[in-house]
Amino acid sequence: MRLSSCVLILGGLFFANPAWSQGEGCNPDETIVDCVDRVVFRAIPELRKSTPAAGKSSTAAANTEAAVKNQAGAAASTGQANSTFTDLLPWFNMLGLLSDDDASDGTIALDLNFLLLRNRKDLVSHDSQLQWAFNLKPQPFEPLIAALPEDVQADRKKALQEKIDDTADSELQYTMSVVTDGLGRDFRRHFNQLANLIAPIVAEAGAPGDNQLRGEAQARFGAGLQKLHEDLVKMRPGDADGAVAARTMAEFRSDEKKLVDDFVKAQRADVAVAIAKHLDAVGAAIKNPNIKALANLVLLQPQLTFSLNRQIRNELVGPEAWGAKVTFERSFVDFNRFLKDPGDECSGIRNSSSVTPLSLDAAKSCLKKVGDYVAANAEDLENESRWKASLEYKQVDSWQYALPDDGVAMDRPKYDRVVASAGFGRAVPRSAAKDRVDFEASYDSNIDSDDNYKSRLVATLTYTRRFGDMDIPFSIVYANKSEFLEGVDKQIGLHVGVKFRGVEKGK
Amino acid sequence: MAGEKMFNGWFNAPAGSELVIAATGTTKNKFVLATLDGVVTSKTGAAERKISGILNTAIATEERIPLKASKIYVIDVDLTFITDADAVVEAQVELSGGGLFGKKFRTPISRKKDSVEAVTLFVSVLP
Repeated sequence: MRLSSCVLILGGLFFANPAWSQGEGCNPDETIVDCVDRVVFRAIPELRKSTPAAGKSSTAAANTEAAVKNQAGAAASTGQANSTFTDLLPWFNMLGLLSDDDASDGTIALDLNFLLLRNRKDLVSHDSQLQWAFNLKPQPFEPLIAALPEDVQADRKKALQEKIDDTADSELQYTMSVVTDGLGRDFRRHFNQLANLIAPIVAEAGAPGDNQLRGEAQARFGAGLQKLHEDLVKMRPGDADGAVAARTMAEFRSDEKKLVDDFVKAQRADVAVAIAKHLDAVGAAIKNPNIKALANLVLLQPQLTFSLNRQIRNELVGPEAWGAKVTFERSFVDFNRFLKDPGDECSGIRNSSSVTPLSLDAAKSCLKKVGDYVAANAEDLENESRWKASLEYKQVDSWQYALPDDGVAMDRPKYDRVVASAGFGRAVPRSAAKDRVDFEASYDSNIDSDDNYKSRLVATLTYTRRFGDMDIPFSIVYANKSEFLEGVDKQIGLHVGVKFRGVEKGK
Repeated sequence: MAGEKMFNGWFNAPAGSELVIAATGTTKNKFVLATLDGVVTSKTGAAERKISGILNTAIATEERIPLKASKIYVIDVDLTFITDADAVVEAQVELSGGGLFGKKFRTPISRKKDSVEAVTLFVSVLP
């Protein structure tokens, strides 16, 4: 190759200035701190073996943006200017009020937790949720339609449906989950226990001596940054205190800026590398399956919840009602049961209110105990077996509605019901996916002995088929009597539904 | 990762002030561990002692580090995401007589489970 060609190629490479080298200098609008942040510390992911994944917030923002765009697009395409409740959903989502934005099951829930007073206590004692759930497909009250002459049912139903808007059927729900050492699936209650068990593993991650090297790099960085600051102060003796830190690169002379650029370049190869190495070591250490098992055990804790609900309905949808329910649910494997006999290694984390720091050896031994417990209960964990029992009181308001043209005048009295339920469910492994089988039996009593309603036994068997992020539940419902007197002695119903699982909902 | 900062520094804080650090991110069903790993040095960089500890990310307990004359503090807040979580690290230098030295620092860090990040804080103290 001729010399002129070599010069051209090298010159081209020089001026091409690859992206990584462009990032090493400070930008004109940056202060020293801004530049160190960007060039040294935000460059650490490039130096790591495994680049961390970004969080969901950006995805959520993108989804919201897409939802807003879609909504805007839909409005533009139909040319309609009128706003409905569903038009507002993307905006509720942007405000963080949308608790359940999955409308595929026909419901949407607004999160009203900001109305609840929440105190930050050392140990959380309960978790409260306030939601307003909307049925996005409200229908005319079934007994009203059934009371119409058969030949006009379809037409009347259509006409009544047009009078029902998106907000005609909603439910205000308050749920309180008890959180104690033994109850509640809540990381906050067990923070000290988990943190003191995992922290020694994090602190000591890496090869022997690596932490010492990281400490030395931190020390060099600190002393170097202070010396840089002092040198820059000396170069302009008359400046006020704090002037150097506040100055942007555009305001530095070229000799001053060179000092900053040289410093960040050196630290990019020193402290940034040491931190990247440490983070990689911690990343490898927390892949320990026993740490995941530990977190999972907390999310399998027994659960006692109380809920109150008030149905708010248009009269065409049916009577309004309120109810109260208490539910207890538990698995066969959980953090409680592990802590019953965790061994001396774990004694420091046995009680959430009096945790003592564990040594590295104790933390490792305790995590091994977690692994032993999980291995000994592998079948129950795999099956995700759990049972639950609940007791519910419900009061349904009186309801009147007349369609004189069709000779229909309905008058239903107020009535009370008590529903006791018990259920059991477990997973059914099917290749990589896990289907579920759940059985629930409930006794729905008519405590008013009103002739319009019957006490009845309802049994539901649900098989949930899982396809990726989609669940398809098939339910067979048996009731020994119809809820309303319609001349039916026994009922068997078949329901099929589709549910999309959100990222957060996990399993 | 808009809005994220992985470093902040305060030059020449008065002796007797305090560096106050807190982190949040642990919720009912999200768990993030925040640990401190730092070093206190002389102006020449000679290490004098280590700083370590755990920040309670469930209730944002403040860790208060008294700042001594002529020392340099470099502290990493290591964030270990055991589940997906949205952490926030906050730090400020509080003057002994009340008020803040410089600006309060706040950075949100949202990551998937198994991610690990470090936010580095630097404070130099006047003689």
